[in-house]
Amino acid sequence: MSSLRGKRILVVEDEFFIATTTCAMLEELGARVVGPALAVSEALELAESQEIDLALLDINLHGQSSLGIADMLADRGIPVVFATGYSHGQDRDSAGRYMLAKPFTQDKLAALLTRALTESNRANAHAG
Amino acid sequence: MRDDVQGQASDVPMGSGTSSKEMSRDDVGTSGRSRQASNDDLLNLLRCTEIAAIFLDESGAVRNFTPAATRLYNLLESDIGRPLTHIAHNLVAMPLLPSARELAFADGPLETEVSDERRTFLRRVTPYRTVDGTSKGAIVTFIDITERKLVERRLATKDAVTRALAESAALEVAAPAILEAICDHWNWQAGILWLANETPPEFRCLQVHCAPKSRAPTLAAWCGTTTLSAGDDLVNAVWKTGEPAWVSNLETWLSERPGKLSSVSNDSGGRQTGPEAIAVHDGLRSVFAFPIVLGSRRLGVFEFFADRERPTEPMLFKMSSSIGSQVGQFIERRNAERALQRSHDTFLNLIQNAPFGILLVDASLTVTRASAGAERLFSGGRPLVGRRLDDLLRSVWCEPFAEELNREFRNTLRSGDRFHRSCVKQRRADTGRDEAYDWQLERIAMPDGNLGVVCYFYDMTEYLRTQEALRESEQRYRAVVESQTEMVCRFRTEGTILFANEAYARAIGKRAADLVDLDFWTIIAPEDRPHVEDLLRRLSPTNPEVRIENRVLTTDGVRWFLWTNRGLEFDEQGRCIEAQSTGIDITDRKAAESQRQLLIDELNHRVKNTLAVVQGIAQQTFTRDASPIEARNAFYGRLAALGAAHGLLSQQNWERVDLNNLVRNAIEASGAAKDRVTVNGTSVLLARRHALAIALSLHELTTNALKHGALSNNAGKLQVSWSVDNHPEPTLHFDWRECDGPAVQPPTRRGFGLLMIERALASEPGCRARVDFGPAVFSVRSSYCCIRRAPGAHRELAPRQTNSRRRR
Repeated sequence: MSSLRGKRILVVEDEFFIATTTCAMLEELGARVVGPALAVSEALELAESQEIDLALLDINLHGQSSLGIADMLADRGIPVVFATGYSHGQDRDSAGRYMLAKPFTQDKLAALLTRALTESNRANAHAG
Repeated sequence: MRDDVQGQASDVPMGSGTSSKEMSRDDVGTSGRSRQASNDDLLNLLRCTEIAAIFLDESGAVRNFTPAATRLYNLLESDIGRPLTHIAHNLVAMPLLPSARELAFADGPLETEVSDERRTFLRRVTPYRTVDGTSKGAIVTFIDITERKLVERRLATKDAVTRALAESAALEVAAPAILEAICDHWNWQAGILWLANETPPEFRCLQVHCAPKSRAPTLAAWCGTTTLSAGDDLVNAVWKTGEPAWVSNLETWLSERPGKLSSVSNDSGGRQTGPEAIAVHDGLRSVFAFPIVLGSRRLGVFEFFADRERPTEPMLFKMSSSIGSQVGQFIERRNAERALQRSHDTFLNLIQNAPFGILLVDASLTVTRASAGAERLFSGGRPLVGRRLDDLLRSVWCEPFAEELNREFRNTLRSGDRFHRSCVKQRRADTGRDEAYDWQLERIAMPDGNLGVVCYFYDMTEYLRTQEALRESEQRYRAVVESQTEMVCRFRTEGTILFANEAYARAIGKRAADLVDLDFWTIIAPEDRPHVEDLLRRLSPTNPEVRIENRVLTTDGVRWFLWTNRGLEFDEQGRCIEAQSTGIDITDRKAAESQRQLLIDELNHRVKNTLAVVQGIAQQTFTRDASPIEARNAFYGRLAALGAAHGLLSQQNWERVDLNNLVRNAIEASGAAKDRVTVNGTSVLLARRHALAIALSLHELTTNALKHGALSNNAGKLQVSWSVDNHPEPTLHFDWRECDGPAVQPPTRRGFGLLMIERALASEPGCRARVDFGPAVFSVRSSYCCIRRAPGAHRELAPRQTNSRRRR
């Protein structure tokens, strides 16, 4: 999982246990966790101010959508992966967003985050 | 007859021997110059004439003859003195010469008809009288009466034909007499009348006639069963040309036609089978045929056969054209008569059964004429003619209508004004039934010069009844349709509404009358139109019903309807052009359906989230430094706490849970002695997302108290209390205090329990609970803000600020 090593990953998850687990998994993979943010306001603050390579967002934060956070991150060119219990098993939804189905394993988490990072880098390289 | 006479004629001499000699002697004895001269004169005169004359003496011997006589008898000068009976003749038969006695008593000349092959003669035997009056022999003269005989036969034939046609109603009746007359008078052995069918050239044999003693059995039988169609036979030829035809020698004629003569229905092989070929089998030798004509049309063919070869006879040709057209006219007249009769019958039938009647009254208002319809309506068994109008009307109609109608009759008679009234429904006096009539009265001039009134009336009862039945059925239909709670709408698929019931109108929020002719696409939600159009296009004669769910724009906003559409009319391509739709409002069902889908999605989300939570608990529990058994028991305890919290949540519609219940549950589940625990707090409803975290925290706190804290010895006390402070905003202050327990040792590592308490109790940013390990007291302090979502509703709590201390 060297591809995630040293990457700064923003974790936004309102469920304490899930956030804890996710952070533990990421740290084991060598990544540096930004957060975790448990609410939208906290997440926005971190998204704006921190240096971030990739974001993992719970799609529903206490009934509030995390899409606003995703937009802000997209503006900064930061790739986003959504974690969701509403998922239908596909890596990308109809709008092309990366979707990580809960509950997830460490392998699954690593694979999707790596893919999002790689594809984003490629896209940025082309754009550059 | 001639045959019988012939044999005798040649053997028997004329007269007696004595009288013959006497006559001759007398002639010689009276010779003188003057007489000789006059005799010569006479002989010369006779030579000049074409009259065949033979002078016989008293014995019947030839005394003299004129040159013309040699054409009939083979007479030579040397034959003078020989008996005439010994002389050969050219005639078919020669009847016996009358005797002298017969001659003597005869008043005038004795005449007999004789004939040869072609001609007919009148044989006249005259007594030869001398000047003194004595009879000396006889003079036999032959006068050619062939032409006269032909004319006679022609007249006789025409007479017979005319009589037969005049006396017969149909050609079938006249045909035998006509054929017989022609056969008899003109010496034919067989005659056939062929009639052209409706689809000529095709002929059927109407009648076959065979002369007495002639034998044509094959032909007669054949004709009776045959329909003659187009062919090379004589019947077809005559029908085609419209001219008579004569065949003198049938065998020669047939040999010139090697093919089939006629394609007849009972044709056998390739043999010639026309009537002429059949006739040859019966020994017939010649044939004459002529058409039955009407103007330029040919209606049939007469065909006659003879048993000998016969040269053409011009008289028959002449006669045939008049008989042909006479029969043609007869057929035409009979056809016309039949048609007339038929049309008359039809007309009469119509009048008799027509639902109208005519009544004629004279100036004294007495019925003088009545049609069958009037009789049927009014008579009641008594004849109408002669009855007084007022009596009649009163017997049929109740008052005041009878008198009213009577007045109208009088008025029309007096003023000449036409009276007309439609569909007058009145009760009949005689039958008691209600009947409806159209009445029309007109004044007319009667044949006697006086005025009268003619009354036409039409029975409208049935018409009215039908109309009423139709109206009733329509009303029933409307009642059924209108009483429906379902919406009913009839429309053309291009969009025009033809009919909409009350329920439909109510649902749309318009008046039913305003909906007719409205374009129904204007009330269908635009986003559903392609879908609705697509489904309506599927209507076909074989698939006449489709169900459609779509949104409709009503005055109450957009509502969902379910329609059952039935195609009523289809064009030639089978596309529906008119349909009827029955619909119900399924807006509530649709909302329930979407609610259910939402719930399923939510449940799915929550289950997965819960599993993720369990995953988190497991990860936090099974750490490297925990012993497997310890970790397993801790994990079970945490799962049980999680389960209990879920249980409480589900009791409260999965939305809120009372903090009181959470606390008491956690303590009860731990098995702690009740006298060592004090719980003091109001009822506060916590939102779901906090409830789980608090439940797990309480589980960790209770477990810790039992294992290491105040409840692990016999003296320790646990006090749990909370309160709500409503100012400046609703805030929950929660306090967990353990005292008199064993000495507290701060943990070497921040395990799951501590993490849980520190973070789960305050999962909002900036709101952190704090746990302090004081020298004598273990305490947790936390505060939440309560957010009032709606006045009077349960308060939901959200952590606002953490203010926890840990002391001992």
